[in-house]
Amino acid sequence: VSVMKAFERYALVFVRVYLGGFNLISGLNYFFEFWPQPVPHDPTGAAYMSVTLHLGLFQMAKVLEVLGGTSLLFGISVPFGLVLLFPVTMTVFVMNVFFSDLIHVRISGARNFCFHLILLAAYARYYLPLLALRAPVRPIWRPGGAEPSLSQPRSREGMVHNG
Amino acid sequence: MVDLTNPSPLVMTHFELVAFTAGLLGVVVTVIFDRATHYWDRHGRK
Repeated sequence: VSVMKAFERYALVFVRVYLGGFNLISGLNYFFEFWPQPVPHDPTGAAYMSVTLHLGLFQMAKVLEVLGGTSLLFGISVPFGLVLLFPVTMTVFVMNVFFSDLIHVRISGARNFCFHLILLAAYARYYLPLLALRAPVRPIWRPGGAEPSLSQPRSREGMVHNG
Repeated sequence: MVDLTNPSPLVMTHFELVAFTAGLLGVVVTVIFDRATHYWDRHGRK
């Protein structure tokens, strides 16, 4: 059991740091150009990249890659980092796996998508509260965060005022 | 500005190499940290 636990722990560290490192270097490479920016080989991917660059969405994705990649690489707010990165991973998955004509690009997109799903499963219990069916508002600007009840005033002054 | 006329998809493998190295280093650092914590728990301050 302890061997399996150790394997699980180190495998998840590898997957988290791999995905974080990949996104961080991909994001930083856009801004600092350590290597030439990879451009999709297929016409659909190239057109998509051209349009998203024009709209500024490509640049936004690169900022998300840097933020999410740093989060995963250093283990800081990992559940939030995974949420930040998911739109990027999903887009890259569709572009790479279904449109690229290069096998190593297809494998790269599919692998990162699998790694992302594994990490989402590994951190799933942080997301379960989001599945609340009936969710009253809990504003960040209200102390305690609870929604005040309109029908049952809590304070004595409230009761006098209402009565 | 990105040169869209110059497809260079092999750079992807550069990213993968960096990511793989980072992943391995992450595991090594975590193993060392775990061993050190274990040793400290057994032989450290009582």
